[in-house]
Amino acid sequence: MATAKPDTGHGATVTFGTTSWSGKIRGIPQNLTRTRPVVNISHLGTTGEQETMPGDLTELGEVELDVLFEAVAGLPSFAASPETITITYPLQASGATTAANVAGTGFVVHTGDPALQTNQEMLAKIRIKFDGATGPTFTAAS
Amino acid sequence: MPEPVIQYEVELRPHVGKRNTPLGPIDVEHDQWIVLANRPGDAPRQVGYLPKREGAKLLPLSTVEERMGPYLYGKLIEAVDAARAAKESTGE
Repeated sequence: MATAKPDTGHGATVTFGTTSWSGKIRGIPQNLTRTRPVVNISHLGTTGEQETMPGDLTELGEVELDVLFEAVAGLPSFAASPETITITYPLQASGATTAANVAGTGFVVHTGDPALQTNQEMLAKIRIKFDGATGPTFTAAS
Repeated sequence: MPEPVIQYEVELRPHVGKRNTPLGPIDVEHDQWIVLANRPGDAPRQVGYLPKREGAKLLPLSTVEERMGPYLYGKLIEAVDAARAAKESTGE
């Protein structure tokens, strides 16, 4: 039985369904954001404050990964088609059988090669975008 | 030095998500299974995902491969492959 309690992000995982890349992820400084657009419906007769209404379609932000660059793995290529991308939350401290995850179809939109400097690990960037076709859906740990 | 004999039990569980349609959101199966594994008698625990496409290998959770080490991880991969073959042989 899963217990509801806070946890850190340590142990999280990102997997790509098609792209043959796996590497050591240092962190996910920018996780998925969902933004509801605001539509301005003010007009010349509006009094007081601007009048707004919620938009129709949710905007999905990009997810940014910091990865330890490994010369044998490189960085993921830009796959031709969207693929299933899954961000899995840590399992070890929750007491659950399956981990919470966010999964949906998406694609890699950006890769940034690492800075090369003495006494510094090579840290690369990957940004991914969920395309909104399937998901992204959050499934709670169970 | 003798090696421990380890046999894992593996379950491939459908990974269900949502898709928005003109008639509202519907449940859809992602093109991957959630992979749970355990030793006989132990409780199952998620170890990763397995894409349904042919030839795909286990996509492990970040802590699995390093904590298990190469021998046990190899045994896990064998068990996952066997579970996949069993599922395909029954047409699931």
